Amino acid sequence: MKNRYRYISLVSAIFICIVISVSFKEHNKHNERKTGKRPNILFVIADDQSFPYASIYGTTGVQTPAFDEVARNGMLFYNAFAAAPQCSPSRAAILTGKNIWQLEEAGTHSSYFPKKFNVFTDLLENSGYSIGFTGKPWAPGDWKDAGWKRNPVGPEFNEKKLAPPTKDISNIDYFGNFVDFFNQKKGNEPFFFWYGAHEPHRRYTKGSGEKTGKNIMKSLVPGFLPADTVVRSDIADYDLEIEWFDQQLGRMIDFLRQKGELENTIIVVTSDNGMPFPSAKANLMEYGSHVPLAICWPGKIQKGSTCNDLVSLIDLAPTFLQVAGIHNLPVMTGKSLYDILLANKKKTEPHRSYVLTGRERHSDSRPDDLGYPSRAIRTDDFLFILNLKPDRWPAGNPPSDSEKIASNGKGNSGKNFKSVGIGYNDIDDPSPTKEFMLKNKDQFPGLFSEGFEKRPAEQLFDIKRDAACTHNLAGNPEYASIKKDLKERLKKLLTQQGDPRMLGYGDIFESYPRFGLMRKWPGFKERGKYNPEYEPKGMKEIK
Amino acid sequence: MMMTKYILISNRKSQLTFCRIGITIFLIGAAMASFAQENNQQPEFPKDYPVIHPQFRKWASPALNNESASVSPILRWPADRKGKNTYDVRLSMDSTFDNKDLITAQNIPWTIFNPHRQLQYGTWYWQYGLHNGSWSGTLKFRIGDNAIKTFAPPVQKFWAAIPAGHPRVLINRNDEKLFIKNVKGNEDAMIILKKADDLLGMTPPGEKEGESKKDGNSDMENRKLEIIASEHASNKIYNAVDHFCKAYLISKDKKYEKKALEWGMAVAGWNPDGVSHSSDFGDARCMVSMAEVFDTFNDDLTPSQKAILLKSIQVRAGRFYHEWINNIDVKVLSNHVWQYIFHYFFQTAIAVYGDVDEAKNWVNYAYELWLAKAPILGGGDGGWGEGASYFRLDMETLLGVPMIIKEYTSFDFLKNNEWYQRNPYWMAYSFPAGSSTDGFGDDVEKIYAPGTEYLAYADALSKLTGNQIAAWYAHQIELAGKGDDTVGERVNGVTSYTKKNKQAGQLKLSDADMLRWFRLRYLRNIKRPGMIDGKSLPAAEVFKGVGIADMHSHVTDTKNDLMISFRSSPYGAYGHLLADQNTFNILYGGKRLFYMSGHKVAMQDPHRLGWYKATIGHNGILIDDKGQPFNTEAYGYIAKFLNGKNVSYVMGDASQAYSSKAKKEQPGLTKFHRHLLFLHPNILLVYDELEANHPAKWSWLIHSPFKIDVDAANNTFRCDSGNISAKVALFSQQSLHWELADTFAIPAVNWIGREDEDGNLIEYKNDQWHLTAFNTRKTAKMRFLAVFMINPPGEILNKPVSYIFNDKNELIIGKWIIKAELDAEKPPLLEAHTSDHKIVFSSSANSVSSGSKEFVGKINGSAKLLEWLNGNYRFSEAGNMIPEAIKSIPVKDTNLKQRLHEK
Repeated sequence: MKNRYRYISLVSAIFICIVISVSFKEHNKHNERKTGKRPNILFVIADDQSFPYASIYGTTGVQTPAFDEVARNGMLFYNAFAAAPQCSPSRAAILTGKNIWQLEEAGTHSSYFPKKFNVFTDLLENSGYSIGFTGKPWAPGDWKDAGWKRNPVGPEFNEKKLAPPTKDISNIDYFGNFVDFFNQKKGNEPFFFWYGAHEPHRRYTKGSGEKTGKNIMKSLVPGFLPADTVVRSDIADYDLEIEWFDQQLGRMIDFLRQKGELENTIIVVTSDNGMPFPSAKANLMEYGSHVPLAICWPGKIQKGSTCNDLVSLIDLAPTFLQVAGIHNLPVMTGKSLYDILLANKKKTEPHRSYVLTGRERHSDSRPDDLGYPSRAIRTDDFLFILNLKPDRWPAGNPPSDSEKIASNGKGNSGKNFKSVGIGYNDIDDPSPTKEFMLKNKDQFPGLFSEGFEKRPAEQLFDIKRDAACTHNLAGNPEYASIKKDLKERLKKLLTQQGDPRMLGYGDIFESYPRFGLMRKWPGFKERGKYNPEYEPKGMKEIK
Repeated sequence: MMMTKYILISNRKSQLTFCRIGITIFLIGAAMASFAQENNQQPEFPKDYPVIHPQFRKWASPALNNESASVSPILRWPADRKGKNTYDVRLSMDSTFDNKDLITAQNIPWTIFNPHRQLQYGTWYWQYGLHNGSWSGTLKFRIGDNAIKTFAPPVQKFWAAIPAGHPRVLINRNDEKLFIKNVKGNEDAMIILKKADDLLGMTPPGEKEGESKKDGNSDMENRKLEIIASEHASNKIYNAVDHFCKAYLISKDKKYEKKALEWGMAVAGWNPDGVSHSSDFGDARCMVSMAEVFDTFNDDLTPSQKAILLKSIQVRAGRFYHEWINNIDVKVLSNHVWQYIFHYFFQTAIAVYGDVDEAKNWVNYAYELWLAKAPILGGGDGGWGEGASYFRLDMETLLGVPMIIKEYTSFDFLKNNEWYQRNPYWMAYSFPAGSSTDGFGDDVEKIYAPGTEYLAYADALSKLTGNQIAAWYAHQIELAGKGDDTVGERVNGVTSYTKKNKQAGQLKLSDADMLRWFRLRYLRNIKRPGMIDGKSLPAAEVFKGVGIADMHSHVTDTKNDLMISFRSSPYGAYGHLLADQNTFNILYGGKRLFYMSGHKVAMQDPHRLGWYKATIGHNGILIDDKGQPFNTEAYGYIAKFLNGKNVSYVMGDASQAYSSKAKKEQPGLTKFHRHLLFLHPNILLVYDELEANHPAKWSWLIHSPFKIDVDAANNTFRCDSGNISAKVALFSQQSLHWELADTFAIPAVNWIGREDEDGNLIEYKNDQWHLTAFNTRKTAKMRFLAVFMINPPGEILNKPVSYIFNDKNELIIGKWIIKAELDAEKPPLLEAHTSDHKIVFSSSANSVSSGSKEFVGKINGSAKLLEWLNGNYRFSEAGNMIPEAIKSIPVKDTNLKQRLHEK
């Protein structure tokens, strides 16, 4: 009897093992079948969200369960940077895999996007991907008169609307439009979809964060801003917008799961540039271009992995093309993240030891519509910034008294114009934080100076100790050799990449048209026109 | 001169003696110096070479102790064209011609002697002279190890191989039965039958149909109208007879024989000196029509039919023969002869061989003439001097005649002539599938894509020679299809002359009338060889023999290709070759952007002579408003060429192209070097060095089918086609004046009454754009640098044209940094390098560098190119390339006359 039981147990055990192994095999086969075809790509890009404003980074005051889910199911990046701290140049850089100084007009804000530049979305489409976007694609700027038949991102899906939770959150039904896109694509085609939220771009409904129950004391106030309740509340409003954006992402993920597509979809979530606050967006200091980034790809990227490598968003284009199996890529400056994602390789190549960022003109915030050209190199430990026109106001000019009176701080002052208002127009308006800092600059002179006043030509920050970039070490002799090394590296790399600012004709950026509203500063103010004063001059004798 | 030292001596007698010694030494010294100078004097090219390919041969070859390319070199000499002359020749390894191995020939009616045997290695001497007249000076050549060992057999073998029976011409009697069996159901055969059937209901035209019904406004126009009418009538005859004969051979259906005889006998009754003789084509087509009838139906002809045909054939063929000997053999070009008439003549000679005594001489002459001169105007490297349009008229002859020779001698002319190996490169690079031509030569403006003729020719060439690039080219033409389907404008019954092919879709061989019978007869069982891998093709090719360089950004992808073509030809401007030395054309996506302008109405038409053929109609240079004379003396040549992966470069020297003694045109231009540097994929630099013997006005010309907008204040212009945009700056040290026109100075008028395919009158549109920039102050020396930025679709159209300079005053365009010396008093220099120095070019620096690596080169003054490719540097340099042909030219120097005939 005993033997019979043992025999039965043994047989049962063997049987169970067989069943388990067969199921496992079937499951893997299922996965293999699923992953045999090219993956879908869901690219999710917020508008003006800085690192570390997502809950998985440990930031209080903001809850981003969808972003966190992506990170937990894939890889969370701690050192991802946008190519520029501005919307349209950063988006152009993402699409082309090139830095902004390589993109001519598209390297400045709200200008043309020349058709000559290859974009990864077209390449995906040409290889058989169904592509589309909802929300904000490449913008702001003019693509129509630059030869494109549609936005460089792809076909638009923005018809569906909804009632947003605040009046200043976009009424675009991002999720609904994604569903429309999904349903119209042909059967087995893989897809690339660009979910470009308008959030958390200003304006915010003032106090909305607090109204929904946020504890403004939990708002993360970065070191370059005063920790005042006005600022806290402003940040809480900002957090609320991030959460809205995140919720729509969550719905998309659920949808894909229901459709059985999630297992074969790579999801990339990030932001185009940093938060719309002084010393952040439109600045090369840390919070201007350091952005969140999480990528998941079931079965491919190890769950829960993290990456501290320095990566740029210009690396996304070659990454997408590589995952789509496309060869013969056009020349790009970005390098694919594929090896990092799949093999968890870290810092095997020299380029992962730095990222470059830069900016040119942002808004029309100075006479003659001039920009504030800067370039920066960020390593693990330091951030070095080269301000190429330090005589200019980095955030825009303060208004003269007559300009204040003329515009009266109210509304638009003509069809192509908006008011100078409180000046410093590279800092988005309306901004309670900006207004507060302007009113109370005497109370926070250091912070005000960093965010608003003219800066030296060189800035050096010890990022590990000073992520807020409040202590400039460029003049400190102890850091002279570090500064020298970073400066030389930066200039050499920029020269290799053909940056006009290094090759002697950088003023060409000042000549490019601006399609956003202008302001009535002295000098050039023609909307949508090239500024002849800064066009490279013709006919010299060349030798 | 030697200095003579005098030694002072004490007494008078001694003084006198030493003076005499001194003077003697002085005289000896002077003589030695003179001798040294004489022997050190080297001819300078091109200054001492007024012509490279004279209209009529001026010197004998091989000579000048040159090495012969063949072990059986063909001797050729200038003709004495007064009277009916014949020549004697003697050839020996003994310079006294006094040995038993002397090779001689007497009473040669033409200026060619082919030994048809392998000569020994070593030095040979030869002389020629009028029959029983005095000998020329002794000429010398060598045969070395590199000489080609194969050669054609003597004409006796040819004669002996011609069978007694018929047919011989369209098909061999022995092959007839198998031929009928094998072509049954063949698509080409069915098309021939269909065409023949369509003609069955027609009757032969009367001789009067060959008379012109139109009146011109001048003697020239009237003469042209006569020629056209004569050709028209004869073409009808030939078209019908040829189809009937072929249809009969395919089917043996007597109905075709009946019609062929009807037409053949009709034309046999025409006066051979009448209207059909007004045009040489007319004459020849009548001749070969009768020959085809005579040959194809020989067994069924009655003796009187044969006699009538032979009589008429003999008059025409004999006339050609006697006009040609001592003429065509020394002439650089005789268009019509080499297009079709020579082939017809050869076929006729074979058809009547044995029935007409003189036919033996005709066969002899045709055979020797072909071996000595073909491929005429080809140079040695595969090009065709007349350009892509007129090349079509030579295709049948270029393949048909070698097949005749092969049939009767077994000698394969195609495989033994390098021109045929390289010819597919010329086609592929100068006339890519789906593209307009490179823009050189008469009638190129009329064709927009290679089409069926090129398909047929390339296909046939590939099958006969195994040439893989010909196979590739044929396939590309098939894929490119029939061209786009736009139709030209038609207003008030007049069609404007921009009509293109109507139908879209892939082309196939049976679409080609060209070589249709050839395919049936020779190619039925031959498969096209494998194709070359297009990726292995370089970006550019040069054809020095004809003076053409074609550069491409994407040679295998016409839609995305920027093509830049350049001509500087040793043949000058003669016949269908235009006065376009050192000119260029630019095409994008196969479409013309900057291109030669005008229309070829007729050879002597005022618009053609005053615009289309003249330099003014091309993208070139005028000096004091004067262009290049129409003469072989007005030549250029390609002096330098570099073929990199990222850069293509060519330099043409047209210093001789503006003067001609024969035409009495000497405008005083002494130097014209034009450099084209193509920085892939879309930047072209054109750098001109110009000098004259007096202060001159220099005009820089550019033409486009599309509107040009010029910004004179900034010396820039732009041109947008909707498909392509181009921005150009013209740099110069001199102040420039600009003139823009949208009409020809001499309009093109269809006074001939040419019609399109539908029978509508053609209108030559006057809608092109012509831009000129010239110096406001005359100067003897001038430099221009034109910088072209050619952009694909999507360039921001209203973006201003602007040029960027760095602090070293170098021009920056994208990744390129460009330098050019515009001061004409300083040595010329054109340089370009990428900002990372991975690609470096210099037109004449002693070395080029990248990082710490310096590359010096071996040739003084060479153009140099350095590229970093696949982890390595690739360095190439180009010194001056002198045309091969000048090796045969004795220097014209009265003091060195004896050099012409070395002892």
